[in-house]
Amino acid sequence: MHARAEPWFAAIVPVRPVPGPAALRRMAERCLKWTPRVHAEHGDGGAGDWPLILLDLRGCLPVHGGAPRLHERIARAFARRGIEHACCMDACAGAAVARATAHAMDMVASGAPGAPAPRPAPVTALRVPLDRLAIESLRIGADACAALREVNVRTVGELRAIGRAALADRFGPAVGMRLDQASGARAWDFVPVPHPDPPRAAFEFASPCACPEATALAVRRAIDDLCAALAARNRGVRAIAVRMERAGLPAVRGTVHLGVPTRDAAHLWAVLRPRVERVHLGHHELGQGIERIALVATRTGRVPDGTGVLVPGAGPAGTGARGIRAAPGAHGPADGARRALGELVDQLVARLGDGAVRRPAT
Amino acid sequence: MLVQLAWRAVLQDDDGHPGRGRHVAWVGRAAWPMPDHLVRGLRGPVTAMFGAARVPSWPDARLHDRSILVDVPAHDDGARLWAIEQAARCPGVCAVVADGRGLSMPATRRLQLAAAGTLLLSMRGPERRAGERRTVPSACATRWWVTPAAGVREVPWLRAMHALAGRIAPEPAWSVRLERAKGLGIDPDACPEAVATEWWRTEGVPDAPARVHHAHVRRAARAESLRRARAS
Repeated sequence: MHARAEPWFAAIVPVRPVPGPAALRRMAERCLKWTPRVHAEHGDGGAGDWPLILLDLRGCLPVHGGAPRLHERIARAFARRGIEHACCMDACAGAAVARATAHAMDMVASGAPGAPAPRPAPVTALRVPLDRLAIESLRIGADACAALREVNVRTVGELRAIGRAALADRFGPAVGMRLDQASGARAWDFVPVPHPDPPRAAFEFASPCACPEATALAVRRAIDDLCAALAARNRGVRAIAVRMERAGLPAVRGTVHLGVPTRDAAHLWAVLRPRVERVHLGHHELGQGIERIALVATRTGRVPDGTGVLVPGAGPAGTGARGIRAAPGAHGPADGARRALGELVDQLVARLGDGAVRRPAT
Repeated sequence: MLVQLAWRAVLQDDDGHPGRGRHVAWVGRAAWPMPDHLVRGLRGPVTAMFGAARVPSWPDARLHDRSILVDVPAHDDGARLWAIEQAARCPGVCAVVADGRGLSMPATRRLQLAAAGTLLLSMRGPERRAGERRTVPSACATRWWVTPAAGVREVPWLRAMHALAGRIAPEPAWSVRLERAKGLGIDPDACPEAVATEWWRTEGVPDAPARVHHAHVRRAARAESLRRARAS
């Protein structure tokens, strides 16, 4: 039935823990690093109703070094987060979903809760004929599965032997549609997960500006806007992409990585300031200067939220803040110390360069 | 010595502020320690064979895990001073071990003001000793003179034992003398010269155990007698 054996789709079924809608969405967004098209379906983990992440890998496999390597990466990424999952790659989306669901059911049936995650199945595994899979792997719903089992229909092959008209009369169009999707006769209803819009801020000059003070002021204003956008999402920035568009000169761009997620405007300015001051702004007499400054938080992280606690000297590193004061976004002394250390590392790297701060070799 | 003092700072920080996990900053390549020196108890299994007490929690890599190494340009004293000051001001740092060679009196005064609440250890270096140690002022609270003491390298059979042990490094030992204590009410001339051994770092204690101290005295005496015998 399938024209090519190249696996075009990867179906991932999280088994333990069963993710909620928000967690599944986050998982799907993380999968966007492997392919730009990701589909997610939420389920409660019951019979035939498993959460599903479907990756459309068409054109992406050469980037990842082939299907086996990508399969390993997916398995590693999920295992690193402690998520037991079933993953299957196939040329047909429906077949991949059916096999992954069947694998997930086998994992639940064989593995006790809390047991260590099983080794990921190789790509060539789960290659049993589709007709021998249980009908629950088609995701046709618990009621339909129960009704079919009452009449001793247990496998996909037995279900396929029943006439489509009889199936439609008894169960509606859903069962026939799943059968067609599993065989490749019908495409999966793919609803791509939208790409996350990173927090961003920009400042545009009315005319090219070559004044360092005005440029610094513009960067600070853009940082304030970026911090406001981050606060609205309750996130902190881990990496900022800076782009300074210059009239008559090529744009300057760069990325600054931060030690800890932060949305402290003063700290961000302390980190960006040495870099901004090194930028050649151009000559105003020649019509050169900065036209636009754009900041994009390309990587964000979680910032401890809640009521600020009193932490001795929890201010940004280098500001000389001492004594007792409220530390915004700090849960406890450990958070305050970690945040202060991250800010110290950022400042040292900003002035001394990348690689100036290291960990002792292991 | 510096590793031992950094260990003391980490242990005191853990006792005073449990769970805070403040770090130790080593500023300047000259102040960087060997990575395996930051783990105490690496020699535990060997010393336990010879009757030493064995601590179940060893090897202890807390200092290794909570150390950051800062590399500053060797010729840029301003950048080094700035980095030391930033580290000393950081609330997430409990101790700063810095390469303080070439720092002037105003610079050390600036560092002393920045290091309120943080242990700051500044290495002066041997070149500052060449006839000008009295003329190079420093605002540091205490100044110590550390020299290598007679160790196992002087004793042939101990040196052979360490060679047979292979990768186990010999125990270095230092002679420590307090030169200056400003505002602490201590007379440096009244303080006897102390001997610090590698055991200090291993044990993580401020003073060497009595039996270790006696053993070191015996080794030093034997080394001295060997030197005399060679000289004669």
